[in-house]
Amino acid sequence: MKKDLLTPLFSWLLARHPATFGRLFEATVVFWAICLSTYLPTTQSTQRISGPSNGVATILSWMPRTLLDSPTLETAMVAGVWIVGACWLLQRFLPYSAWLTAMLFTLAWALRHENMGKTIHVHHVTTNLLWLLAWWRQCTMSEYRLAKAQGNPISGNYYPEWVFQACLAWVCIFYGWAGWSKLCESGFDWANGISMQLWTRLWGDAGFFATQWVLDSRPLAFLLMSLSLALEALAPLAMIPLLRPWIGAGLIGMHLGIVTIFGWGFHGNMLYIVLLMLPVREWLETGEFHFLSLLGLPRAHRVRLAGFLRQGGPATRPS
Amino acid sequence: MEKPSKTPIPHPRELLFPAVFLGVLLLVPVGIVDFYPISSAPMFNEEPQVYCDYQVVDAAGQELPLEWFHLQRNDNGNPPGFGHGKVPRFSVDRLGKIATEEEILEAVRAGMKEHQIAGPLVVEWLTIGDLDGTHVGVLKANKMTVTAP
Repeated sequence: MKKDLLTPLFSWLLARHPATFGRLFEATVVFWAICLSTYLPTTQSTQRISGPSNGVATILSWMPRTLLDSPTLETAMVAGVWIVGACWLLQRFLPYSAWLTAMLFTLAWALRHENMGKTIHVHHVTTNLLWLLAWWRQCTMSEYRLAKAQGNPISGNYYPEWVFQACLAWVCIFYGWAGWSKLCESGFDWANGISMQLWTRLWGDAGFFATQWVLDSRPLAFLLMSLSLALEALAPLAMIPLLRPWIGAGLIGMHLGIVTIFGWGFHGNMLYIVLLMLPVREWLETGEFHFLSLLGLPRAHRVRLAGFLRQGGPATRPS
Repeated sequence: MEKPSKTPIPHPRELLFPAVFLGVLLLVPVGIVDFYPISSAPMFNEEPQVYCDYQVVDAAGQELPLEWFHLQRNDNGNPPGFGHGKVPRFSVDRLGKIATEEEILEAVRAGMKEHQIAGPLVVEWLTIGDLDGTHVGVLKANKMTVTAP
């Protein structure tokens, strides 16, 4: 009985699809990982500090402090990410280049966290996507080789459904936690408007028009905070296809605000949301682009709705 | 006749890694705020209502680094104490809190002693918060002259 329940789920998750979307998403994640690792050597003098240990911060906290404090080790990890990341982008030495990119990227950033006096979160989503994508390439190496031999290295059927669902689930978990941690720490009072105006005054781009809008209007600041809280806390609902584009569009809007007003490096996260939550995969797999797919409607309903809109009313059966 | 596929039949065991991995990412933050690469994404989870802006000027009118007097801003929107391996340099500044005059005086005097500055120094600080229900701005401006003890 239990097996009967799981069989359709496993069949769905293990089903293979053309890898076009997977390869585009993989290239985006790996490219952004290379960009994020490049940030590390450029900020060694400003972000790394000396001083007493703050206790457990990363998976490397058990290592001797002399090793953790070495900027050379961090630079070596970054150089490693550039080399193996480039190999992954060029589809060379797979799946080893994929595993090594995930490992070195994680270690490079862990070393940075170990030497900072405050934390940042621009790279967490990328780190864990790298691990999921490395596992994909590990599991489907023989299928990839076959597709390559048949002349379909990009569009061959070696993209399992679970890869898309797992990447989407991780993004949902991360943003879900962002909302839940606000609710746990501050409750619904978090969305008060004043805090956002203070952060905007402190760190916002004073020359940008939206910065002035936020500073000049408490109701706008309150609305933006309320929407951010709702979108983040409800982000896991994006696992439901019907709600996905709506939550995705909201989160993209939130990130556009963060990137343009504050200039913080969440560009990669925004791209991942575009690729995973807007119907990009469907557009690539079917070759069809229709604005109605942005509504999250299943294809059959969209075809009916598109026909309805074209005719200006319900279709009538010929007599 | 169709050519037989050489690809192996996918096995459910390939789902084991993502299932365990996502389970860890979902559940571990229940007990741990930040343990890179696991995180409860606590960016901006506090709701500050005020903050202070400091300035320290010497007798010649030269502005001095706030770090010297433990008045620098350590906050960057993330709750302090989690996800970083070093204790930041001590500061009386904290988003959402207003330090008392005694705390500021003590911090500045400690800095003067560390950097062998006799003074006098002029310390100015502005308290920023809700002005009129619509805007945030300067609620209060304070000033004190500090000499070495």
